[in-house]
Amino acid sequence: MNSGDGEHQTRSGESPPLPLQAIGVSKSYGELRAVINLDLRVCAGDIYCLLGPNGAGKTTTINLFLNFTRPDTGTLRIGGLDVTVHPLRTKDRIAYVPEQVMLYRSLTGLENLRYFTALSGNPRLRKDELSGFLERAGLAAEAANRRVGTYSKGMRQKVGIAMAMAKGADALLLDEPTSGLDPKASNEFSALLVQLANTGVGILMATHDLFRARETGTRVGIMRHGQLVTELSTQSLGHADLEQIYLQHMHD
Amino acid sequence: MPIELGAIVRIARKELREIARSGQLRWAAVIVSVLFATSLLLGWRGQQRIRAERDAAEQVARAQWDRQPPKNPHTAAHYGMYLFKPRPILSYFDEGITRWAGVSVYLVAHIQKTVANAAAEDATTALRFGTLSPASVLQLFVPLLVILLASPMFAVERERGTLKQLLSLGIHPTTLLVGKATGAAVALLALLLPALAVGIAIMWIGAGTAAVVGHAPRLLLMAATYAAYATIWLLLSLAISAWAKTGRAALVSLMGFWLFSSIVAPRVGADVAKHAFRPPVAVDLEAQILNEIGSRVYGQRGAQRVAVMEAQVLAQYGVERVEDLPISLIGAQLQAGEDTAAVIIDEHYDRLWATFERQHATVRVLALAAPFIAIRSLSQGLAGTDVAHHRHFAQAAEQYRRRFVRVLNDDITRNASNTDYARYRGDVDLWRRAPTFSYAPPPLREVLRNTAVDAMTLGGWLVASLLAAVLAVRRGSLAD
Repeated sequence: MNSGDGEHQTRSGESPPLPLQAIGVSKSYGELRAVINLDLRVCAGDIYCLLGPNGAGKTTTINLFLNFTRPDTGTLRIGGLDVTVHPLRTKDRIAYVPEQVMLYRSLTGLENLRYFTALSGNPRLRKDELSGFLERAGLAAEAANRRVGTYSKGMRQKVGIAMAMAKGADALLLDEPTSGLDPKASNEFSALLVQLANTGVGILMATHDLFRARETGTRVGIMRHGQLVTELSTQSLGHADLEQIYLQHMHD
Repeated sequence: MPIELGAIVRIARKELREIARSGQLRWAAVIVSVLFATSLLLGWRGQQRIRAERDAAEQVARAQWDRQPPKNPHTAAHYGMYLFKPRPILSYFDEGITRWAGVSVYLVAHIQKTVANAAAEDATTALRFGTLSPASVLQLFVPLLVILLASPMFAVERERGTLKQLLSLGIHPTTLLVGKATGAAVALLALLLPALAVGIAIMWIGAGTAAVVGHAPRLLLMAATYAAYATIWLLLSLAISAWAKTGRAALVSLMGFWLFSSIVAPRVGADVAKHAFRPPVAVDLEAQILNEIGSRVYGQRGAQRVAVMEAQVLAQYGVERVEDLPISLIGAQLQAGEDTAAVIIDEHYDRLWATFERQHATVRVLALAAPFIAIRSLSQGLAGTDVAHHRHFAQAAEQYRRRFVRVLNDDITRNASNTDYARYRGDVDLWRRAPTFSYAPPPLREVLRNTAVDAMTLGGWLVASLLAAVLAVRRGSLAD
């Protein structure tokens, strides 16, 4: 797991492109300045947790990386490619898990995984391979063959993680993925993220959950009114420290 | 190239699976298929019954003519004969204006009668709501089914968040559009093709291979026309679905447009056309023609014309007295009167048909806003049940009437006496010399010429709906 904000060095000495990078990005919706001059780097193996209250600009940042909305200024890169120039190629390298992983209710978990995985460029994965991803994501085999209409939110999030694993993405974008999960499901989900990060995936997670950020993240960025006001490494932070720093920034 | 075939197939298969698992759609599809198959069966049975009745009536009418007792041929011309409009074989699919246009025409000396005895005259007011024919099922109910199938495809996915999930995978929106359209189209074909096969099988069994082969070009054009119509609704539904915020909004918008296109616009168009270009009623038209014939053939002008003609005929045969003519002057004058009347009749009927044409053109303008009007015209044209076909029959019947009356007048001219014309009698030999009416509908190229405007309108709709769908899915905020 990468611990800092530096880039990995290859044997040849060249730095591989960062999974996720924002350079001087700003985005406004009319009068509202949603993101202001954002600089952000997520390295391979990072779990970068973006903290902040509602309206701080966390989801806009995720949407900017997904190219669902275009920046007014600045550049967003995925694997070194500009997302506005290469909207399809950059999406090939990322996986996205929203607050609620939305699946087709009339299809089973396995059918959903097969569909999304095939459309994301892996059409030849066999059924047992797909089942393996669901199993690794913590979804029981019995549940995998049930229609998603019967799933809890935690189960749907697991399918979302299985989709990310099956896609073999270099970067993972998560938008409040543990919101509404019970503590056990939330713990399981965090463990899955750590597993993925250990395989070299760079993860950017927008969250309100300070505890989960401290437990799971390698780095934490705090946003307020569209600005990234501070970045911290979680290694040197206790839970109380993070809460104190967070509240301090919220009241400035 | 952003469109990937493999992805299209996978999206289409997923859509099909969802459609198959949706109880509401399953029931809607079953109802439309059953309606279509039932309308084909009922349409064929009804058409066969009417064709049999028509053939029987034609035989009776001809037998009555042939068996009439000896009488003066001109009296026989006033006794007249009935012709019955042949029912096109494809009318079982699309009745068109058949029920409103009349089925029989009375052939009589001096005047063209309108084609009369329309089924609508004996029908209840329920007929105003239309009849259940295979064409009406395809024109009215298939768009509803398409709306149910396609209106949620983007809008509901957007509401549920799956659209954002899909787009995050890097799938091109156009690929998504083509995949969804393919899924819906395959579902529709799976539902309608078996019913269509039943329809063609019925025709094959009932009318024979020659009829099916002979009508193959029309059947193929009809299939292409209806495929284009369904595609228009499919693309419009997907476009609205991609624009609408919610599935409900998409459904309501499309239902509103369906109501306008299929119910409101055709009726408004017909009413506007009727008030803007009002044709005379049949009784008035006949009275106007007879008045003019009376004035030009039998009035003062007519008397002058008769005198001139008498002088010409006497000079032609080099005699001084009518009694010395080798032909019957009355027969020649009767025919000359018919020829003058024909000119008058043509003037009036040309104006009448021009009025109908202007009415049709007025309704056609509304087709620019309502594709139903274009498909209805095209379908009726290909089935041989539109106004143009009716006019073709009416004109063929009139031409036959003129030949028929000419045979009688020629007989008088050749055989009747100039001194005792009234006692001249024709007999069964003469009655049988009257030609048999043999009607051939207009060839396909004429039908295509008549319906070219409708075909272009439908083509325009196809292009516009395709553009609308592509633009709707390619806009930046598709996921929101």
